[in-house]
Amino acid sequence: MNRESLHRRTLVALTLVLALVAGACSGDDETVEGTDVEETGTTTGPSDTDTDTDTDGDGTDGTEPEAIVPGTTVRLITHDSFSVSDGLFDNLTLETGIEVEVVNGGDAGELVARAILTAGEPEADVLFGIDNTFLQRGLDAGLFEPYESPGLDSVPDELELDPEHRVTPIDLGDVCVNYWRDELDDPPTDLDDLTDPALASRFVTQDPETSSPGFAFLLATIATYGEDGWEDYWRQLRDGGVTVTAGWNDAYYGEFIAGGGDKALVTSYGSSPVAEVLFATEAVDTPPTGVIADRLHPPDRVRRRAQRDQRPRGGGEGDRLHAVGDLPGGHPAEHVRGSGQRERGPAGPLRGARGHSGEPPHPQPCRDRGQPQRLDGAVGRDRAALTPAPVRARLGGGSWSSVAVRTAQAIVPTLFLVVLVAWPLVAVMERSLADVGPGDIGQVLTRGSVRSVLFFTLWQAGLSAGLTLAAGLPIAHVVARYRFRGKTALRAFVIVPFVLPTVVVAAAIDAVFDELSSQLGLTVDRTLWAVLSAHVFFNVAVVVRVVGGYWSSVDRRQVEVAATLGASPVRAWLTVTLRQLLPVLAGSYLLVFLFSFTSFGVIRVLGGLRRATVETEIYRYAIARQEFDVAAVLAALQIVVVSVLAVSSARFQRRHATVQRGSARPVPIDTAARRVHVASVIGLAVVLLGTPVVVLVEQSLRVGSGYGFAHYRALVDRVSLLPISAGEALANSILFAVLAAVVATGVGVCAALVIERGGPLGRWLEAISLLPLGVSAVTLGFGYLVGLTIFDLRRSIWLIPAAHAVIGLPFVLASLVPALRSIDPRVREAAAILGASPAVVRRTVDWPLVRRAVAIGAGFAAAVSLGEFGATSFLARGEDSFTAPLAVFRLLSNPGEQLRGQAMALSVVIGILVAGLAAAIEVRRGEGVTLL
Amino acid sequence: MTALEVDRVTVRYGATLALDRFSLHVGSGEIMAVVGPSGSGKSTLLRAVAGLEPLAAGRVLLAGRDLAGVATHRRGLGLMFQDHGLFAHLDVADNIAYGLRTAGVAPQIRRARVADLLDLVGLEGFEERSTEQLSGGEAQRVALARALAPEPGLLMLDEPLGSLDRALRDQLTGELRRLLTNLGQTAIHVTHDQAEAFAVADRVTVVDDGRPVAVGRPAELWADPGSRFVAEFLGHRNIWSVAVDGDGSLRWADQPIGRLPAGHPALAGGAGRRLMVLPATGLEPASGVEPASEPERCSLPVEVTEVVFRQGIHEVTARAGPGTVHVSTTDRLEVGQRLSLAVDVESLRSLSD
Repeated sequence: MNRESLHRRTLVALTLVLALVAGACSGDDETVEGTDVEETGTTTGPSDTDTDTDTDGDGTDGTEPEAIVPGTTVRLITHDSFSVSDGLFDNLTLETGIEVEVVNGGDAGELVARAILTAGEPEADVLFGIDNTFLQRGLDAGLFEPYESPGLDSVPDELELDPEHRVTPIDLGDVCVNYWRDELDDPPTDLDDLTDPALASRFVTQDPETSSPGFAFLLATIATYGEDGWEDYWRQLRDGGVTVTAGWNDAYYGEFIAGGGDKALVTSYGSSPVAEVLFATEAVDTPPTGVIADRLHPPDRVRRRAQRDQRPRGGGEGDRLHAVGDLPGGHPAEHVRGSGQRERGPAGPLRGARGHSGEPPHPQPCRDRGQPQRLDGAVGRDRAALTPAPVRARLGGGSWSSVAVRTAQAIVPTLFLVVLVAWPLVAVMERSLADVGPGDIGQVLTRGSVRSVLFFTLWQAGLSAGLTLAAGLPIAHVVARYRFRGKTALRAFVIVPFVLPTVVVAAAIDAVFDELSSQLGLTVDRTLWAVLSAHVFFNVAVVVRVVGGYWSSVDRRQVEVAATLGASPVRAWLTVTLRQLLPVLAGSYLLVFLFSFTSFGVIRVLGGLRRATVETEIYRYAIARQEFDVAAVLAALQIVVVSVLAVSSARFQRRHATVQRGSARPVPIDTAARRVHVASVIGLAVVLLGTPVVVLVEQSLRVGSGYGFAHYRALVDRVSLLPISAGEALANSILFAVLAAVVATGVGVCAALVIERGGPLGRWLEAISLLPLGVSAVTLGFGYLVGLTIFDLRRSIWLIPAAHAVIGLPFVLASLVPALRSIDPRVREAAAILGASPAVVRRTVDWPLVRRAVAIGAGFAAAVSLGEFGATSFLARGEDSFTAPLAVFRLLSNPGEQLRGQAMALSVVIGILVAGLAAAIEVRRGEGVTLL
Repeated sequence: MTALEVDRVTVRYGATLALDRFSLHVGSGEIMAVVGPSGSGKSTLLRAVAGLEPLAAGRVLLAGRDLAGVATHRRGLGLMFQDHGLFAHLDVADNIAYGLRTAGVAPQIRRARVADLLDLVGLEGFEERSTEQLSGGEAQRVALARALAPEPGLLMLDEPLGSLDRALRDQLTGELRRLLTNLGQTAIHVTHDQAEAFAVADRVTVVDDGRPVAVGRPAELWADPGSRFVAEFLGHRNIWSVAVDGDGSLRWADQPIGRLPAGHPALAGGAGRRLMVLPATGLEPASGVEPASEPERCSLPVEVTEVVFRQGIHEVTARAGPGTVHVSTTDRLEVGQRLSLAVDVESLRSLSD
């Protein structure tokens, strides 16, 4: 099979879609159309490529061409594996005058979830790619309008899932059990074979509730063994030692041999072997994997009417899940459909099992560790901080202009937070909870499972934050206190983990833990420690930079006074230094806590199937089960918890704010004891932060059986699965990062001044500015889609840097507010007496004293933006808004060593970029300019 | 008895020598002022004694005990900084009690002691004030009370009054001396202000460039500064280059100004030209207008160019033949007035340049 044929299929698919468009538009304006999948050709083999060619012709202008006026733009929402060849849409525009704008709807589950939530104000005119497992939900939600495509003639009747023609079948693909050829001479041929312990123990499949192929596999077992027999089948699988992961990625790249694991059988797609050939790093004639051809019957019946099903196809695959299909061909290269990809991030990954048909049974996980699934949330974690209060500063009396300035200072951040945080949250909550009464809410909250999830979420976050402080403080101390060569590099390096895609890092940490347990025979609770380690790894930068920046400004003479008063160094540290650091410690603790509290990717990848947090539950309910009300109750719970924490932390910080006088210059490392101390701390930092990075770099350089830079070179070329090349995505990311940093800093400075001044508005701002960190990205992402319909804000690509700035804002405040509060009011007073107006005082007194804090905050805002995944995945629309983390994620969600290598390489490039940026800022600032 | 002995201590900051083989003795109960211009090493001396700066060479002994290897918090010292360094997170009582707490003093005793100390520094009832509510002078007193609380073997004051206004400073200077003297507290008082040093200290050490250049009781040091640097630093303004004849007669430029009595220390070097200092009180308006003819009682004709009235004294600047002279007198003089000044040649002292 070659790319040519793939493209042809894509074309076919599209044409079908267009036919739909025509129907939709003529019908009525507000609605989304959906379609799905199914298509005849099915098999992956090259043979079927042309099956559809005929469709091609008819689709285009089908029935009601007059409905579309040339010049009209048709918006098409689809899942993130949708990809068409260059020029295809251009040709269409030439032929018909219609412009097509593609909206990326996330993975298959998310696509449907967002369509349901935005029903009434759809994001697009046509929805492409709903498969039969999700179809019923869409139909029940009334998303689609009937349209009978003339192309239906070529579609077998049994594939027409909806008799009312609200959706049009376009493609069919299969989910198959893949096996590694070299490992199994005698591959299984049907489901029964898999229960043989020799095979079951080498078989990895996915949780039906979180993974589409996993769900397909489950349906296949139900179809085969019946409502009465499938549970027994799963019991046998479990007894035989089957492994279940949360997502496709963890199964394929974590457990299966393709990714270095030891499982020889995996639930994946019929097209996977083809992808292994297409994306191999070294050319191969035959794929290393094969699919077992079984005639399983499609589970379809399970799903209500959608049943039609599939046929055995000839090629050989097997299990077909029926209808899958989304898009373009099911094929190989894109590896098909929505397949794997989904997962996203922090917020949202999605995937999905859908539920219907009852709840998908939850096979008992047999193993509890998940591997990397992709996911990531990677990146997106970030969040913010907080800060406290005010204390002094009243300068400048109430002249009209100062009142105006203050008002503006208050309005800017307020408006920003209301539009980008409060309003979207209210909108999505309102919609999700429309039919829910207080009793229902109570019922959700009193579920034991919810309580235990909340409990785990809180304690793991508390522990993660505590460990992060413990690991970060010694490093922050060394950086703040001593002068040594390599300090700039250390400071720059520390921030790298913060921006690395979660998926990638989680995979690296998992690898490290594998190594540790096999070498040292660790018997600890691995999933827990892996999760905690990952949180520490990601967040140590927050402690080192935020606390370190403040620490270097703490007046060391007070410590000396304490020493002359008889306090030992430890006692002086506890009673003086620590006390002065309290506000900033509390702020960073809260930041890290919130990050860990809403951690998504790390939990999904490393937490195994049993570790769930409120965040992952929100995702599961919203995307996989589409029980938006339950998800909304959980999201509200999250907001309540975060608000309580933010308010109490702010109060604590205000109460403990101290004024600094004096400066502390870094001291040289001039004694043996100091050398040992500094060296051991740096050693700790390097081991802690460097190990996963080394693993990552190693993987990015691994090409086939050797090493090289092939994956890096490949970054400049566009892979067909990405709308643009990885390099271009990186350029977008940089642009967004710069904008986000500028906006976050500008808004943050205004907000910090208001907060520092105190008063109810300051306290309110302080609390609400933390919300974006503590709110699930899924919630916020849906909030944008539902709430920001005015002026079509949700479609603006500038919403992306704005959303990033919202997440970066807490960092700016965490760094800036304590610094502002620590300015000795007498210095300002002195300046005022010398004739400086309040504005001049700000510029000449405050600014020099806090610019370092501002730089640190801005740096974090940029870093947050560079790594952000969750919100971006909801907002990215096309080439202009496709970012590097999205590219990493998409590359990782597909089979093929080459793609995985490129994902690793791109992650390394992001890391290098950030480290370089941080180093540049450090150097420019220089030691000498260190103020405060 | 020597409470503190600093023995040839050297402290380096990188390539610069902050203290160069510095030696100093402070007797028990003595108040030693250390004065010198900024950057002369005064503060470094305190930090070295406190153990806050490592010694490149030399020893520090407190009550005869070598402090090498003794950590700051075990040295039993008190230190008070210019801007007081009060702990902003603690109230007044807790600030003062800090050192008592580290010493493990029981709470009741602590409370009583804090009250006594506040009483001592004139701040009765300030226990629960926050440090932000204190005025500059009050903060200094609290800092002093805090430093005194553990009854340190040596109290070190680093520009303790530097940030206060003059009137308050003068007032506190007196109080400080009284208080330290009454307590019998051994102290080193570092300042750049010679007036403050003279007012507080039993003895004064003048420091320049990391070395002590003069040590003495305030009156002795004032009367005989020994070097031009010290004389100028202490505020002497009549520094003349005087020719001494074999018989002891003195000429400033070509103007005879008197004759030294036999045995005057300035004669020790024999005839020749040398630098001499005369306190401003060593000149006074002479009764006659004509220059006296007898060499022992010369007078110097001058014209008054400036008069400043300060605390009952007229500080007069006048132009004389050889240059400018400065006179302190209770007489009332007018600018432009011409008169003769009698020179108290016995007050003249030689200076090294």
